[in-house]
Amino acid sequence: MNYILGFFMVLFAAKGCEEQFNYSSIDYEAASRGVYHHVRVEGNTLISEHSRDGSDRITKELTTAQVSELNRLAQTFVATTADDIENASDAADRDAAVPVKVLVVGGTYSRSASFDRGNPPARVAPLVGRLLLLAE
Amino acid sequence: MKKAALAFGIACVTMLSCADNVEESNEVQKSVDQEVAVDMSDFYLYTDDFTNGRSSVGKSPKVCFTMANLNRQLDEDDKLYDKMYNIEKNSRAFIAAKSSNGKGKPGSGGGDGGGTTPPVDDGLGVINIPVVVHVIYSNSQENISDAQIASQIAVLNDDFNATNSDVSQVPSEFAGVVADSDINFTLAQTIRVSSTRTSWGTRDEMKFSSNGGSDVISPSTHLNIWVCNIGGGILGYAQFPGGPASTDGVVVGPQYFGSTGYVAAPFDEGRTTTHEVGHYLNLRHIWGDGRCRQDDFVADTPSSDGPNYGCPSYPTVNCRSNDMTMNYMDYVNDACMYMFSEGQKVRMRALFASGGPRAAFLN
Repeated sequence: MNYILGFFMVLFAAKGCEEQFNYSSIDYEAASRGVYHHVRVEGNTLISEHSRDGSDRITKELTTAQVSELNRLAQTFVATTADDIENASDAADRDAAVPVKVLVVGGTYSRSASFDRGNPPARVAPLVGRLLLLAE
Repeated sequence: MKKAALAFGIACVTMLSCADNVEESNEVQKSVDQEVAVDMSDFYLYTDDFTNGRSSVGKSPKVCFTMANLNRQLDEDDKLYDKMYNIEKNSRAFIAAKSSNGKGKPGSGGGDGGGTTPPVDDGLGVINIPVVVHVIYSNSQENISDAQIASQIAVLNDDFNATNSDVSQVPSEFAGVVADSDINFTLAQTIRVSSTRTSWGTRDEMKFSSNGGSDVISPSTHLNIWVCNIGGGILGYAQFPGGPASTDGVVVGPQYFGSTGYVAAPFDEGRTTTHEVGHYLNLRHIWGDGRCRQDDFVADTPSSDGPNYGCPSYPTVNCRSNDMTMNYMDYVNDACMYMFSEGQKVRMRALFASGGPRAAFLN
């Protein structure tokens, strides 16, 4: 009986831990003078826009498996250090690249990265790739 | 009962471990936020103390990651750093020598942002820039007409001499710093190259005939403009002074070049080329490519924390001041940008002074 009680207590604690890390939102924004793409995921709702006025907005409901995968990829990014996501490029300063910002927000944390479109840091790339695929 | 207590203990440890991870995550975020707030990525150009120069890089054993980026870039390209550093140093020295207030940051007379700035007489006179246009096309539309090219040259002349018809729309707050840069452009040559390639990217491949593009012509005395489809939504891009001579110039998509012919709204008034030539003449984006504390090295353009898009209404307030959204170096639509500032003028023209990277244009 005591074993069973203990098992459930550990299970409860681990579940709480998982919930603390679940994202509440993920934002991806690529913006330059001639480019705009904003993808936002809140829970299992994905919104994608290519125009700043939102006139071409598409909304999708993600499956539980997709949310779970996004969450796993988001946590890989959240656990990065600053050095893992540094962006050494200055191409956007002379308009030769489209700057991208990614922001993951959870209950107790937020994590952001900036980089040139098409060249995400390795620790962010899986999340960005999956997000853009889901937004298609 | 002991077993229950043991299980309870394990559960507590699990929860604490979880909390620790969250704290670590928060600490990392705090660290990132602090680094953003003290962004020094442009310090080598930003600093007023040029005597420290490069030696100040890496003095501190613990630098923010943006500084680390800079260090890495410098390690990768020492010569570029030295060239850009010297260009900035010489420009500021020239401006300081010519301006009445002795400051090297152009446009300092009116305070930081707006106001009136006493014109600087740099003694350089009217500057003439011969232009070579390389048209690289994969279809008849991209093979833009001579009339379209002529319309772009006309736009450049208007915009760099404040003879553009829309300059009257500048709000009174900034009217006092509207600049006639006294820089003229003349079409020297048009080169047309047919190619099967439909997009060229931003790696300068269009600037070499060996890639099917067109080689640069006399870059020390001519502005080279490559007109080709870049792709990826990029309208145009530039190279700052100090880069390789073989790629010196600007690249613009055919639909964003000129004000007539094969052009596409809302970038159909030739201002993409004006913006890119601004970079070619050492101007930075109006927001300094950073947040409020990061400058564009021009005092009479107010600080901003990012680009403006579309056609913003006046006033647009950021960083506790009104943005100069109508400046050619912002990201607004062509119809909504119509001025350079006096400080930008001084900065551009300083390149043509003796010893400057564009001095040969005046010989």
